[in-house]
Amino acid sequence: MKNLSWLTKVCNELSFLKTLAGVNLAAALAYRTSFIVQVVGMLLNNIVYLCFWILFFDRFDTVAGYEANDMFLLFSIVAASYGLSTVFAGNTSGKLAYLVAQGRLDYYLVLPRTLISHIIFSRMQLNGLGDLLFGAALYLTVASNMAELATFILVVMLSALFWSAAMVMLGCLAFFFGNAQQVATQGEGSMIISATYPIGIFSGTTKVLLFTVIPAAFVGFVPTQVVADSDWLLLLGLAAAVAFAWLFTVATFSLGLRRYESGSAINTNM
Amino acid sequence: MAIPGSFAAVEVCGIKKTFQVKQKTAGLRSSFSSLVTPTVRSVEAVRGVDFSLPTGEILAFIGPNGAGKSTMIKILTGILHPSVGTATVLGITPWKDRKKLAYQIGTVFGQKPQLHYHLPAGDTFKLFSKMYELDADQYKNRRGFLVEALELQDFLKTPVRKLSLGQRMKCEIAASLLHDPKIIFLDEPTIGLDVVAKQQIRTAIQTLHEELNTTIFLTSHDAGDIESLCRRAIIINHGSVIFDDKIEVLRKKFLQHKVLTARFSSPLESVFAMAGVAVADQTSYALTVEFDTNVVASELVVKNIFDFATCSDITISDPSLEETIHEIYTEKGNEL
Amino acid sequence: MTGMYASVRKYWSLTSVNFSNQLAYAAETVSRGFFILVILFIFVQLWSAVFTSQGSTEIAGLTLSETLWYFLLVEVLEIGRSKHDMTIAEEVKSGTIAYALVRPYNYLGYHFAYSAGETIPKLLLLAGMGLPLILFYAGLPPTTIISAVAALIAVSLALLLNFLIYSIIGLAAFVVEEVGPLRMIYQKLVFVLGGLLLPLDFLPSWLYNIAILLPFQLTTYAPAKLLVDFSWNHFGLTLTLQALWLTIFAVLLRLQYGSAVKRLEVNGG
Repeated sequence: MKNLSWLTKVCNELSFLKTLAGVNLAAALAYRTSFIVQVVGMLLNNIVYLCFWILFFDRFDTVAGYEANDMFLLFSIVAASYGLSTVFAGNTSGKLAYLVAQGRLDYYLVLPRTLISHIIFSRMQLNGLGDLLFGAALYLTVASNMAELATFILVVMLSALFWSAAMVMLGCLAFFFGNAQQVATQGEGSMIISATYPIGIFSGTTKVLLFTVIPAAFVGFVPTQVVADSDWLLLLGLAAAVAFAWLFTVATFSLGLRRYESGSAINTNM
Repeated sequence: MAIPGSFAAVEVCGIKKTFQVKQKTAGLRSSFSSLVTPTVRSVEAVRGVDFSLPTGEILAFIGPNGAGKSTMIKILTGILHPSVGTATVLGITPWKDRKKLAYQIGTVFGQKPQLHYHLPAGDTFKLFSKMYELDADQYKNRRGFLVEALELQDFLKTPVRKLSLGQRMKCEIAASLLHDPKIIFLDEPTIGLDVVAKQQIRTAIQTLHEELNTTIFLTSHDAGDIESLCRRAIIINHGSVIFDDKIEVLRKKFLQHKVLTARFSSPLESVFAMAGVAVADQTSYALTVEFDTNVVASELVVKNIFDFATCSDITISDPSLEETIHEIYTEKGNEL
Repeated sequence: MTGMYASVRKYWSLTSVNFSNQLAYAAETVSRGFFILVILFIFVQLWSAVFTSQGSTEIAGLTLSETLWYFLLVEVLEIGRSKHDMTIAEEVKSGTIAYALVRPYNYLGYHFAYSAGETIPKLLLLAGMGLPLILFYAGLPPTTIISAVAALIAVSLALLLNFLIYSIIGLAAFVVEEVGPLRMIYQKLVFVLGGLLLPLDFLPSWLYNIAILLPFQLTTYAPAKLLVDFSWNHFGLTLTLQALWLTIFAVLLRLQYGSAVKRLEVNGG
């Protein structure tokens, strides 16, 4: 009986998130041109970086142990996982920080849903679709067999979960520092750019940073390694990192919520 | 406090809320130093509030900007954690059991819309039915009832951005009532509306209250909202309750206060003066005075004005509820 | 003569107003500039690794130190560039450009003076932030007085060229609904053909020969390359090409602006 009620809860949550996604999509498609511009724009952006790497490896063959194919695999995983994360859970990072600082969490707080999932799934970032499509297409150019494809899909999903945790964490900064939109957006940018370069170019101290403060390794280096070497132990490590990231983020969010001011402090200028 | 036979829908005891406000001063150097060691000042938004709201009542919660009424409504709906004190809504502590409470209350924040701007209101209704986990029949009936009661038929399928403010607000109210809440919090529901729309919203709230007997907690700037909807009012200023009684008491207490305006056929040559009467305004041909009938009788004031100069027109009026409330703020505010 | 003096003073006052605006928000600009440090740091690591793995002190005539100083200047020029195209596009879309036209200023002159006040302090601030990092990893700049002066001239012309190009992008709002994609395409072309990700010298020679003639590199690559690896030939080529493209874009802008004003008059604003 207890199991059943638990199952019902999960089904209700999924059914709700499905409706929410439908509403978001409808809202996003209200401006069709803008939709196309965003997706194509992001594709173009990625293609430019791809051109850079093609030209780069055309000239240098190898850097820090990476060859062109390794780079394409890394790039495809980062783009696909970031795209998957942002296209569905788009209300994170700078956008979340803005909601917190402006007191816009009120809307979610008076509704009877689990807060974090309700908030982050309440906006779709359609340019993420461009990233996702680009990442998938790029992977297909370097894919070797079906088993590897399955691993790729799995690590992309895990990395997407990691992206979401990290970007909710960045949004949480606003609970503690007020206007953190700028910092969160820059943090997101820093993580993207740090993830898309071969980790071998960095020194020991910087590598430590990439596993901690700017945890870009978990969305770039680690999943790439899992796919390239079919390293199952590392896959478990990645899963553990995702679980830890979410625990840490949820704890921080709950702590932050106690300090949430609903924009009231701004209005009480006495 | 609770009236026999009904339990209190809202019970508030010793609630305080303090905000930490960062001080920012102009200039390059101070911008940098405030990054490292920000100057923080405490602001007490709510300073110990107690009250109780019986089930089925409509309560007006009034106060000027920054008085703490928004903070209070946010504490009661589970948005803010109070610094000190206890409160229950329908027997639930809002900030501890936010989700459980949310199933049973409805909220309308006039300045924070819940409807999706780019979509028809009907789509948001659908989303809300999923949020509150209503089953299909329940939702259909409830929606049918609200559409009829609030007369939403004509614009349910129009994107919200194309609706007038009044239509929008009616849809907001419908959205917050879909799950049949036991209590509804309305924060400035008529803000920014024109006179006609305001009246429509008031009628709608009145109808719903009569048919469903929902407990209503209303904050408003608009004395009209309060006069036409509520029987009881709580006035809050500088974070404390300064009045908590029936609207009639509010009126009676201040009805003794009169305003007299007179016009004259010839220009006035001296300044009008009389013990117990305050001159609010005097020009060559007109005079406005204020007085308290407990201190000085109306006919005496009228007689004195007739003696003062040749009167062509004279009117005596009660101040509006709005002025009355304003007077309470300033009076009690000064006492504090 | 006095008329000209007065008009110079008029525009100069606009520049200085925005200049002090920028100073007032210096803390904000510094926090925004944090990103340039991340990018430069990663480029330092990447190119150090490249030079190590190539096992040579020079690639296509550039040393590691020269390459790093090169990236400092191109990044500063790209991140610090004026954003007046957004203001223009906004004014066109909202229709306030009609009011802007009746002010006692030349519309583009106004934007030029105003954006100069924004751009110059921003460039200096960004350069100041990146400088310690590059000094630490690359040592003293491989610069002579001649190359510094040449770079300064090229930078000035680059800023002017950028102003014209982005004005055209902003005014395109008269024709297309959204100028965002247009701006993005242009910027991405600068990324690759302007040498923002890779100095043009590292490109295959067929692509280098095309890119060097196009306007994109004149706003980024050319001044940076002159700073770190001066040659009279390159200086002459740069000045010639800058003059050529400045003329082309000035004519284009003049035509576009003329037709825009005409359009406003027809529609009555």
